[in-house]
Amino acid sequence: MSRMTESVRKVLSTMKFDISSPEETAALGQVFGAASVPGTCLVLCGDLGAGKTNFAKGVAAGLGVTEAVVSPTFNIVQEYRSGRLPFYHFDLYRLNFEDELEQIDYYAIIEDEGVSLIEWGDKFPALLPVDYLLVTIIITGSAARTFEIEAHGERSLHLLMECAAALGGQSSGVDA
Amino acid sequence: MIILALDTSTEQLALALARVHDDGGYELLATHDEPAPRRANTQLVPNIDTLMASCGLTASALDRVACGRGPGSFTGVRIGIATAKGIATGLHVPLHGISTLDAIAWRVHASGYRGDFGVVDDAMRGEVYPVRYSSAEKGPVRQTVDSVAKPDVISRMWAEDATGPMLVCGDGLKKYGAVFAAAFEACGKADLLTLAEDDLNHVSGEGLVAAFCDASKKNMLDSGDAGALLPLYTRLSDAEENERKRSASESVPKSGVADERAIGGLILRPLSRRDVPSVAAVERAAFIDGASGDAWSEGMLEDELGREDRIWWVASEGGEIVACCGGWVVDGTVHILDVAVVPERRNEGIAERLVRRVAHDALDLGATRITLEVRVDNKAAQALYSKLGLEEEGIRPHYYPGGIDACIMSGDLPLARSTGARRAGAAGGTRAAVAGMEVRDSVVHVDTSSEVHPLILAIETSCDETAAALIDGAGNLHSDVLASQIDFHARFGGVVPEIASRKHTEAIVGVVEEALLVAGRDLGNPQLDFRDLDAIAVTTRPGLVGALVVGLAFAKGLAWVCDLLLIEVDHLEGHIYASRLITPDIEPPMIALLVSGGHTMLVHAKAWGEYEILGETLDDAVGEAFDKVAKALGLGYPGGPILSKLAKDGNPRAIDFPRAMLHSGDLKFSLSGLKTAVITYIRAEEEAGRALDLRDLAASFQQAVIDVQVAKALTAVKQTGASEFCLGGGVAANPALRDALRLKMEKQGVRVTLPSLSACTDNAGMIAAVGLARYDAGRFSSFDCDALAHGSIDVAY
Ligand SMILES: Nc1ncnc2c1ncn2[C@@H]1O[C@H](COP(=O)(O)OP(=O)(O)OP(=O)(O)O)[C@@H](O)[C@H]1O
Ligand SMILES: [Mg+2]
Repeated sequence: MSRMTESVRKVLSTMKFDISSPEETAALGQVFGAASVPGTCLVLCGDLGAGKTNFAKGVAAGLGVTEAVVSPTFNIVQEYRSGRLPFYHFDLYRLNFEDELEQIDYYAIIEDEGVSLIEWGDKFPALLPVDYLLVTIIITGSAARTFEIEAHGERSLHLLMECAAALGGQSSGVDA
Repeated sequence: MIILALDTSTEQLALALARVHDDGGYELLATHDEPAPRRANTQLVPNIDTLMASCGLTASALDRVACGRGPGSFTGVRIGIATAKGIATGLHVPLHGISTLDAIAWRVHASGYRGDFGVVDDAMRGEVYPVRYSSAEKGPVRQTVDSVAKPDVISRMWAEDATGPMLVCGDGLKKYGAVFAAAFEACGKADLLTLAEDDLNHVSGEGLVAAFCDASKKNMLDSGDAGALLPLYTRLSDAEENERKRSASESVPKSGVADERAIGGLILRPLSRRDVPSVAAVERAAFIDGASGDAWSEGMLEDELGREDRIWWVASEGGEIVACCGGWVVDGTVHILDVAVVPERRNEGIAERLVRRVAHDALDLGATRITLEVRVDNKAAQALYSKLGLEEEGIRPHYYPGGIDACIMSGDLPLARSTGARRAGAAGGTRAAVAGMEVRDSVVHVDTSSEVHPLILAIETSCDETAAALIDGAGNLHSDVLASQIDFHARFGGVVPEIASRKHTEAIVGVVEEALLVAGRDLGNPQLDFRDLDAIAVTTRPGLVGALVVGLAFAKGLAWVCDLLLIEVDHLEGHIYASRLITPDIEPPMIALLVSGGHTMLVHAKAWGEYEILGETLDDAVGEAFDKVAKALGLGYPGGPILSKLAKDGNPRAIDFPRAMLHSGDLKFSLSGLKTAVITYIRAEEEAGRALDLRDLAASFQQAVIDVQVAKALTAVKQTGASEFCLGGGVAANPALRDALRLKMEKQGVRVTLPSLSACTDNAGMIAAVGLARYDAGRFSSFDCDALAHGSIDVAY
């Protein structure tokens, strides 16, 4: 990592994955969950029904969470404690105003040593942590999705590379 | 006088118990300060209890409570204030608010520091709460009012102003210490700045006591009314702030919801640009003789809009504006600029309601005083203002046309609460206002004037209604009081969590006192006191934690101080017990289908209090699916009622949407596939240039939901052999779902209990019913219990 030149780093900081089923989405999430470290923050954006919660289920599985992961839209944040690290699943869909984040302890949680995943995380761009992975899901067909994952910050870049390496070893139709 | 002081508005838990002497001096009996980030709710009451015990005192020894009201973390400060309200309400002692920053300033003073200093607490979102002080021998003197500011701006200002040594402290230094250092460096004043060490950055129990005594000596304490005490927010909620910005620009339409509700009732809302001509007309009508002041012209009103320090509210009925009131916040004081009511609507209390709204917003903007002028011969207005706690301060001669003098009246914020109206309300169908919300009691009062213990008070704040009820040991409800915030949220097109929590904090004392009062009358014991009760039941799950903690913290304070048992209640169990309030002889085993914005589950109630979750949704809840489909269609919020109305005239077989999990062989649900299918369908139709038939789409979507719900509910009934079925949750109001369930269930010989349409929303009556059952089962909780976003009712709690 440390020997990497600036230009290489730029190219590697964004990756694209073409996905063709919900199962593959979950599998992709699982790889990121397995590689997550304390403080990892995944910011998800994409239309209604793009598969953000689906991806989150995979991340949780990768962390070893045993509870059932469901859409956190109503409660806005859901905590899962059964995995290797605390998993904080946010959904900012219902929120329209920045101060509502304080209600749910957003600031304290994302600075915490768990793993945070934020659906509709692009809603308040000014309030994202310094280091995060931006996961953009584009609907390309009824079951087809394109995932664009962009690292912001050193720690996330490291995570992204690790996941890319792990995925490279699989022949699951994921291409980096 | 023994005083308890507490503060949880920052990450520090600060507590003190002190004896305050008549001369304003104090003697500390015990203090407890510890960092408790995100643990205030579980740590506060147990620590108060330990503190009191360490001094050999019981709760009843307290003569007064002082509580830090921030500024700080909104949730943190609400926990402290709600707990303090519970304690003061139970003991009938005064509760005073103390500025958290002043308490830190007194701590700095106590450390021996003399000279200029500033306190900056972290306000999150890249901002701080700054206040400047100078410290003389007698104590710190505040130089600025409470506000919220960007660290780089405030640090530059302080650096530029600095003429001598300056100490900066507060928990904002953790993030922004370097910003202050850089600002002083840039001014070439690095040698003047000292950044405080650990302890001086946090509020302490002793600091609170010192700040209290100082305010008391200077006669600057607030009224001590527990119901009126509010957190110091220093800003409106973002929702309100945004609304003001929007309404200052012409293009934005007024909220349709508010207008619809306006028919037949008076509604209050902030002034918007399109109101200006009507308000100017109200002004002309109100000041027709020109004798009591000048009417505001359209131009003057226009100029007020969008100014950050101005607050204007209007009252309208049936779309017509009948009154308005404006205020200007300068240096911590709100100056009432204008109160105008059309002549035919005077003496209805409209002016009072408007002045209260303006005063309320002013408080959020950091004002602590209110001042205004009134004609010396206008005795009615003067009477109103004295009722609000204002006092005559002087005369401004020849202020009004015709040489009439103005009487200047001023007072503290928050304004005194109105008690007259509440006390006068007759038992049964009481209507009064708490914090601007209409309060109603929905119990049909029968004559049951013998007290059957246990008497249990129930409190519910899990969503957007503040509710309290009182039940007796025989299961009779003696009050079921609810303050609805719907008027506040309707303005924003949906429940705004931050506003819900603010309103709970404002309404909790009034609602709980009303529930006690009404129940006392009903029981033929108007003197009924909180101490006569046996337990307090409170919703602790599931829901928005920020809202739940307000009810829970209040319940803990009240239960602790009155020595009552504390009972936690799961809101979902409440929905199951609600069936018993409708069908009194309903008995388990029964199947409950709970469907709301946050839940979709089939529960097998084997006995009261013993549940098995047979199946839940794997992804989205039913209410959530309705809301999201409505949103995708651009139909607004809440989606359920809108779609079901459209569906009534549509063809449910027009579009074949997937029935997910219909044949999965289990009782689980999945709705995300249906959501995605509907959205995909909408997109495809739009791309093909075909117009959508909204009614057919809504009917087909709704049918797909109902088919699965009904089929699984039937399977559950067959599997378990239950002969009773009940429905609960917000989606229980869906007419098509109700009809389908009733039809299919009754065909199987199963009795169906459906909540009345009005009871689909949340009330405390059902929480009280669960509370009683849990009381009988001996399920009590300690004061360190917490609010949970999620709970599983199949696990005993
Ligand atoms: N390749 C895919 N990846 C993910 N989901 C897919 C895919 N193909 C189809 N789907 C379907 O799309 C739906 C995605 O729903 P999900 O609730 O995960 O979306 P979401 O982005 O979280 O939506 P929301 O904006 O409501 O939170 C699921 O029903 C899933 O089966
Ligand atoms: Mg989702």
